[in-house]
Amino acid sequence: MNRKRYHLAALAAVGTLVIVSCGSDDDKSSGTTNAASATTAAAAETTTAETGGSTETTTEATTESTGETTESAVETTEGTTESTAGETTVATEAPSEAWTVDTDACSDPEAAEAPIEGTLTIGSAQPLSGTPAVAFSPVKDGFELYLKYANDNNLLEGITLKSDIKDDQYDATQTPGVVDSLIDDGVNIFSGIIGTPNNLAVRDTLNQECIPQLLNLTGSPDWGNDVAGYPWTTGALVPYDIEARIYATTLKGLIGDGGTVGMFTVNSEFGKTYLDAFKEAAADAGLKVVVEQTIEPAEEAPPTNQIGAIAAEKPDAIMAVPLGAQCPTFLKELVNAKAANTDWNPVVFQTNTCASRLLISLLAGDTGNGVYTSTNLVDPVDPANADNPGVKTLVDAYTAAGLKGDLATTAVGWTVGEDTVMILKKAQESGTLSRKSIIEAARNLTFTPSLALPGVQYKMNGEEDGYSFQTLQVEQWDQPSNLFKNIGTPDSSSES
Amino acid sequence: MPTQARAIRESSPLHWAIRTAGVAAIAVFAIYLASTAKPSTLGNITEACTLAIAAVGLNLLFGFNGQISIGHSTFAGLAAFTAGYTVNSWEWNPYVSLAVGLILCFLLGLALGLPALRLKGPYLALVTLAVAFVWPTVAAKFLDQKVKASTLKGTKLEPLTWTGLSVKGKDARLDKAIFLYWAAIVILVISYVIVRNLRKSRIGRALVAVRDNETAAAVMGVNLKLTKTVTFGISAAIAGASGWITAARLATMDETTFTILSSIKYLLALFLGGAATLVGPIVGAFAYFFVDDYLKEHAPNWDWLPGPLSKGPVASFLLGVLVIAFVFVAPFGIVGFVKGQVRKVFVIAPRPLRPGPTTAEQAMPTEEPRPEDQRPEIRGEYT
Amino acid sequence: MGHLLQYILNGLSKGSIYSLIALGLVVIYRGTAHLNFAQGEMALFATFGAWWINDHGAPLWVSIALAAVFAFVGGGVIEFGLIRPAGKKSPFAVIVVTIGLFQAMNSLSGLLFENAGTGLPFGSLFPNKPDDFWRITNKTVWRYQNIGVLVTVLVITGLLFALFQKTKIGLAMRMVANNPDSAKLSGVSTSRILMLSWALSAAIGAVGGALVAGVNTNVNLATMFGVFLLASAAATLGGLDSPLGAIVGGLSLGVVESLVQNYPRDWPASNYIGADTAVAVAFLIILVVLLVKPAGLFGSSRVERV
Repeated sequence: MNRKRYHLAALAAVGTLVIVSCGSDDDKSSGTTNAASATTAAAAETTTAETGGSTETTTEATTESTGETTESAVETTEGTTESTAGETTVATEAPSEAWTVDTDACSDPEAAEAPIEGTLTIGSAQPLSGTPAVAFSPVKDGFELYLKYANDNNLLEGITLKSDIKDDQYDATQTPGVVDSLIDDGVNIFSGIIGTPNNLAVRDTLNQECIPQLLNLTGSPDWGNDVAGYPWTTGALVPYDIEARIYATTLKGLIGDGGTVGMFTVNSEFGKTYLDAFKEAAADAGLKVVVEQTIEPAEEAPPTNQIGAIAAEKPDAIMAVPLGAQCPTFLKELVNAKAANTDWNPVVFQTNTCASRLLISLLAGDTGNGVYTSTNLVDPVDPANADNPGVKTLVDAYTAAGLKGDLATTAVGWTVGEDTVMILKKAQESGTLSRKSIIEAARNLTFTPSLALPGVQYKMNGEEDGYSFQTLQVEQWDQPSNLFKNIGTPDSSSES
Repeated sequence: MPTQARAIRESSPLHWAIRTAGVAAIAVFAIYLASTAKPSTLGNITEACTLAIAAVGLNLLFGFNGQISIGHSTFAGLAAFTAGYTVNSWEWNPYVSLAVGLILCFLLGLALGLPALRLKGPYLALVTLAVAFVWPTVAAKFLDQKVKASTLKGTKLEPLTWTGLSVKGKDARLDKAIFLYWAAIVILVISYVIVRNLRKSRIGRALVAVRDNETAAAVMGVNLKLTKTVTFGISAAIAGASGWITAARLATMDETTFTILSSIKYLLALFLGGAATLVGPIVGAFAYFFVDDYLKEHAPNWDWLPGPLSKGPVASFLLGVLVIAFVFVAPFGIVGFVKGQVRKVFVIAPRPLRPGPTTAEQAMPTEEPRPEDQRPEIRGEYT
Repeated sequence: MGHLLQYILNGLSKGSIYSLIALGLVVIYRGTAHLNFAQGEMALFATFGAWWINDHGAPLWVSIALAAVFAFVGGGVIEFGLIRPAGKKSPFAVIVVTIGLFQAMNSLSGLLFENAGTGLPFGSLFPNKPDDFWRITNKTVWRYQNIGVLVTVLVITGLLFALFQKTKIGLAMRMVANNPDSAKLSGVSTSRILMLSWALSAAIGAVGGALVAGVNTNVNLATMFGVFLLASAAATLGGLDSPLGAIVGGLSLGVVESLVQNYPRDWPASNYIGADTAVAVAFLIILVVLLVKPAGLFGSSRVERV
């Protein structure tokens, strides 16, 4: 019960952040060049002989059916040649490095390559009833809002978009049943399934049936680290390990070399991913993790013992990864501990799943002031962003539809919808709109969502870059102004 | 005066005819479903079957033996994790893992049955609740230490070759669903037959005697220890079979797959159908599953509910109210209710042990009086 | 281990909460021989009620008092209208009704109070600012909030004890618990006493829920689930019909949990004894105790007539 609820709230918060970070200004240019690349891949084969990296990708794509063998070797060489040669080859030649998926392993290759005409139905499994629904229903609203916008403005020629979002109550044992019934009902693709265990539960089925499982609304690194094994699955959020690394880097700048850090993480896969990634990054940055404490996912009571143990070591900073309502409880307990240890005033970093206004301000009172976190989307609630064209479009559609949910969470759904439609558009440009072309489009696309912070982009590149968003803007919560303040510029160091 | 219900002799041809007709109808329906239903419908029925299997196991322990357990999800979880781990990490045959899972659950059931001997009603309930509460911790530790991952993979049960169902290709999804459906039904039928035979035998009478009055049963010669612990073991094994099917159905499991809430579901399904009846747990499980499914699907769309109410937990509220209402409307469950109605039409009269007397002469045995020297001695005076 | 005293104090704080909810369970079991599976969720509903009253302007202690009064009435009504008729139907009926209530009351809270899923802020009856604590030693601190909760629990237990031992109603309750038939013969209205047990338990639960929400600084749909499970374990440990057992059981459970949570990482078996297995270890200890004393530490075993 509890666990799911919190996890959902967490996801909602993250989702908003992620979506925000995706947009960029020059998406049109990169979008079209990429599209050009994809269609002219075959023709470009001969001309890419000069740029070693590119050749390798094309030969790989054509000769290897599964493309597994020399992945890693290719990636490293590609990395350097791509960035320099990529843009130029793309402009002059047909795309040679476009990743393709092999449909021979599908249970029904014909269905995977069959053209989709008239109506395209997007399915999803989200918590729509029960306690998590309140936190997550704005995601569904935002998603469907964007689909309506796309239909009204005919963004996809000759295709009407439909959505079929069914309830799995955030229960990973129900998600397979929901997804099965959606497949039986004939949905074409899935997008925005919420929950790491939920997505894991259906990943095998969807990859076997070769149905795109796009934009999973979770930050698990699983969605991008095995492109060859699960080509049909992609994620929407910045992975937790990248977030942890970005925090470690920023923290180094704040407390200096040799600074001490205390870790407070939830005892789940979510927390463990953070813990491991942060410890690794901290070691690289010259920071010392001096104490680690955990809290159980279902624990409601304030973490008195844990914070007491951390306070005993008096670290210079704390990296906190609690779940849902544990976020404000942690902050309050920390303030109590600081009062009992008056010579201790650590810098506090919190996971961005705790960054919703509800968790960092409403339920936490003043204790959230000064806490560092991150985001990658423009805050639609901030009056300073009222003139942002993306925000304007969202707010107009939101008010026209008479929606009442949390605007920031609706923005998450809106951006997932936008990402999905951009993918479909690119797939259309390849000539045939089919499940195969859709997943290939998803993995060969660069564009900037309308609500992204400057410097944030959706960028995927076959096996080389399996993550859609990898840039985060570190920000600090300022209670008096009720706003987040950006710290520095967006950190793109983890972009691949 | 209501018309007398017609009495049908047990094991008479008419009784057999009614029984075979019932079984045949169910078999025909099951086959019909297997040939026409979509994979998701078959999946739903498979899930309802796993609930039914666990309820049948719980019924043996609670309905017939009077030992309450709110911890049966632990046995399902144990068997499921055994199957998932042995098949994925040790490459075992999934059917071997079923056998091993059953044995492990039986042993754990025995182990729990021993302290249960000393605990009465609510104490036993709370102890089993505690066991169910502890299982996720154990499962999480296991995942952390042995599996080194956050989820355990399912057994990915594939159709056996002799069934003719395809493993790969266009129909693989449907065929796998059909195979799991039949596997669940077969296990359900076997569990039902086991419980039925136990119930109808001498052992069954001992079980019920222990439930109704333990001390009296002991006085009459029932070995309490053996009866209670072995019943716990068998009940646990049946619940374990339910867990094995779940491991075959799901692609991933973690520590939240089997929780106290699952245990409560088994109990509610048992109660809804009718505890202490043979068919009750099965009927109750299907009823619970499909009502829950219906409510989940349709409650969010009910427009007559005011605004924020429709987003809230309507389905679970209605289910709770339904359960309470059932206690008053049908305290012996659906099967109890139906039996009550059917009794107005006809009654199964139990077979007499031997033909009874039909005339007065037969009722009074006539014998030759005993010879003088064999009559009992009359001592003293009788007044 | 210089923090041992701190861990024990933290454990006492948590344990006093378990004790209070366990007390509610014990009052019902003593009075009616039933296990109220819905104890936690009834307390939760009353706590949401207190939040609502507080949100509409009343001071916190007034809101909690009013909620306790409504819970008192509600508890009596539930006993009369649901539990007693159910008890006449079939032996399992009562436990099923309480399970149904558990589900229904939790969902009802979710339906009536918006955002109940994520959480509503809840204040504390005791001074709870960051520097409201009593410094005992250099390393040990006892917050007024926690002292307040413990004192409240002890006071309520004392009042209950006085009720049972020193008043006529208490005497009547003990009579009905001991032998309902002879109690009836002595002129005690068993009906009223049964209702009183549930009413009292619900009121205690309401106060307990409010204290939990005050410690957690918020109330949400999941607040009482874990507490109820631990409280029922505490009641089992102490003996389901012993109020003293509820207190001893609750406090010791809290302390054991706290100590296991802070089991030093460099001690042996720390892989299996630690923050994530605290509750499991505590339950194991309870199981061992039950093997020796099947009716709990202070519970009484009944002698049955065959």
